[in-house]
Amino acid sequence: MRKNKATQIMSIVLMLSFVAIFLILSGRFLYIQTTGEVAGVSLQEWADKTRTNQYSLPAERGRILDRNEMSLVQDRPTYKVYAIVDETHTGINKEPLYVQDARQTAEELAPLLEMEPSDVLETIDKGKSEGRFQVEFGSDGKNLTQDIKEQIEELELPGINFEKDIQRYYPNGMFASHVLGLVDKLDGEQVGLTGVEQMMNDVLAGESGHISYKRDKYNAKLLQPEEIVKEAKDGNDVYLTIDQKIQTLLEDAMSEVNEQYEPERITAAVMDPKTGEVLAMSSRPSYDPNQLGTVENWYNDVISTPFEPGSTMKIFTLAAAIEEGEYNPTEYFQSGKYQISEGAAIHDWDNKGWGSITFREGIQRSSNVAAALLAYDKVGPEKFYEYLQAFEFDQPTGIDLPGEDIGKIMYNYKSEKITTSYGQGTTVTPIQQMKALTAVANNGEMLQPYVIKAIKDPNTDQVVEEKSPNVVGNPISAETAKKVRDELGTVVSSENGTGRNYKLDDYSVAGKTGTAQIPDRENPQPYMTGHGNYEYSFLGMAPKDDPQLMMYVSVKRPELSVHEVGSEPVSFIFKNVMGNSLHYLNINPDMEAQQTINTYEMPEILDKSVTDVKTELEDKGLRVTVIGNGDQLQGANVKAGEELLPNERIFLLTANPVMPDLSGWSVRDVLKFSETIDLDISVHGSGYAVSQSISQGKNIQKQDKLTVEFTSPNAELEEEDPPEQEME
Amino acid sequence: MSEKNVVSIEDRIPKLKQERKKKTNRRLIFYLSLFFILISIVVYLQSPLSHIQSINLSGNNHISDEQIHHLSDITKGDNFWRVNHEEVEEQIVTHPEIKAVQVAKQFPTTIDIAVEEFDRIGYVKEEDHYLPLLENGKRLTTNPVENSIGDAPLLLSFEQQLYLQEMSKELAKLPNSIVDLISEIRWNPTEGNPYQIEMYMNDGYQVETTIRSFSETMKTYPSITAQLEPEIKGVIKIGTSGAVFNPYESEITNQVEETGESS
Repeated sequence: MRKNKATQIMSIVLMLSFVAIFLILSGRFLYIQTTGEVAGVSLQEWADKTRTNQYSLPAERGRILDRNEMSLVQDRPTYKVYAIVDETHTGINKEPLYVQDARQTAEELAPLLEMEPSDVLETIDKGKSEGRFQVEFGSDGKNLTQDIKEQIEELELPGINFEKDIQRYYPNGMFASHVLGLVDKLDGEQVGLTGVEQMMNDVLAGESGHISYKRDKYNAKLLQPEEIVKEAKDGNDVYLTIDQKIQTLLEDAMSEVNEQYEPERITAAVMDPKTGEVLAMSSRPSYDPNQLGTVENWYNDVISTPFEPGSTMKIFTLAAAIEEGEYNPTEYFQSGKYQISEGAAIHDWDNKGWGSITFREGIQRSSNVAAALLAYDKVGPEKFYEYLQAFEFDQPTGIDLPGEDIGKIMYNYKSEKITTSYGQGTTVTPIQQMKALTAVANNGEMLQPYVIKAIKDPNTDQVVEEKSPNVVGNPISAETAKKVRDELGTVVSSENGTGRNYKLDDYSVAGKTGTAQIPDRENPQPYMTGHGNYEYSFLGMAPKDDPQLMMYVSVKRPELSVHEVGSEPVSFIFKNVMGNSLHYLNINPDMEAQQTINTYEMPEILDKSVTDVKTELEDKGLRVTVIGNGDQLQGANVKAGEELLPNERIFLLTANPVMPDLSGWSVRDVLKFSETIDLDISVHGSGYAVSQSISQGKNIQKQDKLTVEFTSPNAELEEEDPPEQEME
Repeated sequence: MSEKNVVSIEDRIPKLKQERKKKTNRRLIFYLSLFFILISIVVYLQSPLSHIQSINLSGNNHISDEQIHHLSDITKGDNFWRVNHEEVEEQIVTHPEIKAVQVAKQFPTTIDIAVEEFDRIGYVKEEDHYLPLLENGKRLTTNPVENSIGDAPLLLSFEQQLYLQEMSKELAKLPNSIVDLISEIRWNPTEGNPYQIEMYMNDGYQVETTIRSFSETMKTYPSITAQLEPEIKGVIKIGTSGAVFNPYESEITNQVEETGESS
């Protein structure tokens, strides 16, 4: 019985425990089934995740191009090389996929990576001994070009593999670096940091897409893969107003000056005054965005560094005075010194001045006194301030680049009001001056400078957005603008002008030089002194009467030798870039006209009176020889309509030809003469005629024999080299 | 089947006959016209209507008409259709003085030959005759000219072909109005500058310059002489950096002093 009882109890316990286990398990199942979660993880999601493959499809970042569709910034694939050193890594047929012969691999690989073979070998051996799967080769093995990668592939080294990456590439190197800007990689995505890259980041970046589908354990797509593809939308291309050719001219000229004069800073920009488009913009110190070493200067100085501009400011003082009708170019004033108050005076750069001179000469000589008189005494300080506002020196230009800064108009005290008229005290940026100058160059209409011309979809080539010129003000009239250009033209063309060095061979230039004093932070003396311790600049345009380009150049503290003037580096950049750019743009030279002005077209002369034609031709500076003594002309050695230059010899033929006096004639003139008459000529010597076989005044006929002797004008002195030229 | 399709043979024969006649007529007309067309072609080719009646030459200044006629190998009376203008052009262009030529047929009997000659940019004196120098730098050795050499400057003492080549390139680039002012060009190399040349100008000045950038520097010549007083003659040295004028009088004194020192 006892045993029976015990058996009974045991069976109940056993049954209860089974029931308990069953309830726990089924409860758990029930729970999982209803909630669909285990340890807070949704089973549905987890399942989807494990059987779904998902990749992101990165969007290609747009390019930045110049106005002629030359690529300035683009993406470029780069490669990182790595070597597999794990000897268990083999292919399907047991062929090795690891580095077998480390020494040979190192020797063949090293030159392409520009490394020492021993270093490569060491890296591989170290990886092997540490039991690593693969090794990399540091910075030398990174950022390899497509070309290098292919060369390495051709070596067919086992175990050498590549990893692809996308890098921003700047084909022109140091080229408008501050304008184009830089990108950085954040979470594998390129983000613009500076310049156009930053400004237009959203446009350039595009939208990255992704792809997902269901798969089995072996990564094969399921029959119903439920594929979801969201295609990446590539970034749009940004077209700049920059012209690659002009920018290159500017970069080259600046680099040359930078090397020769080692200035603290150079800034320059070229603009189209008719549209406000910036064609070139650069500054030094600069950097090559492909090889960022130590970058001295991150600022785009043209737009973000205001400084005291110096005399280039006088352009606007002059414009204000002309607009107000207060500028009389022939009025005299006493140069040298302008008394601000008792005990305070300003001086011209040449302290002595030039005595009593006209205002025009004052502008040509860049007289501070002239500027002060025009601004303060003639226009008046309040009115002049209105002009500074009209030229928008008190606000940013609104150029479409990040980081623009503005200067400060110092206009509290009388001395400040006066120094502002010639560009000291008050600070402005180069681009502010360029913008103000568009009013002068563009007949009174001031244009907003801009750099971004258009945005295009690279796939459809459709224009997404396009900018057009934007007139932002009308500070002066068209008439004033023309007068200002004419006055500025004399700064360059006049003998006294400070802009003499800025003359171009083929184009007339209007502009103003500037030599700004630089505030000295360390010295109690307000400004630096000494040769070269200035900021030299030029603000000008060409051709004068219809400006096609305008340009600003400034060079700060060039290292000048004693006999060099400060304008030399500035004029070198200006002349080089301006002259070549105008030629490149096929602008008609307006200076050559002065040279060809002298040419003269041969008129119709047949049967005309000898004396009439002779006087007409001689008036034009031609040397006329009448052959014969008839009254009616029978011909000449030049056909009607041919172009003649002064001093050319013309033969007029009449009836009864007689021999003229040939003395002093050149060989070619005598030959021409004999051809005109058809004589049988023989020439002795070279130079100019001294004797002739048929004497003057004798009648001549066709096929008469004529011998003429020539001699060099300084023949007596060249006895060892007698010009014996004989011809029969 | 139905009665419609059954047509008796008597009904069909006359129609067939008619049809055949028509066909024969048409064929006859075709052959006859073909025959007459062929005949008229033969007649045309035999008659003077297909012969070249006139050959128009244009563009030749220095080369005589006969020379071109000879080269073209076309004579009046030749068959108009037998002239292959490409072939003729090739033949004419073999003349060293011809730059380009265009042969055009003008129906019915005229051939137009338009030649473009190389400009003569100078004359090179060799022994006792003058050889024309063409704009492509070639010297014509075949036909020395005796007289008609007033239309281009004389080139003297150019003993090395290289410099003559360079010179001719530069001369070709210089505007004609300025080339017309040059009388003689003499190669006058110095130890420092093998490109040195000396020129006598028609207006009496002597010019010293170099072959390099000759075409650029010489463009300034008229503006230089415009600043000089025409009575005083002398040597103008023109370089890339500018021009210097030495009147003869002062140069004579200079040179006298120099020779005095050296002796």
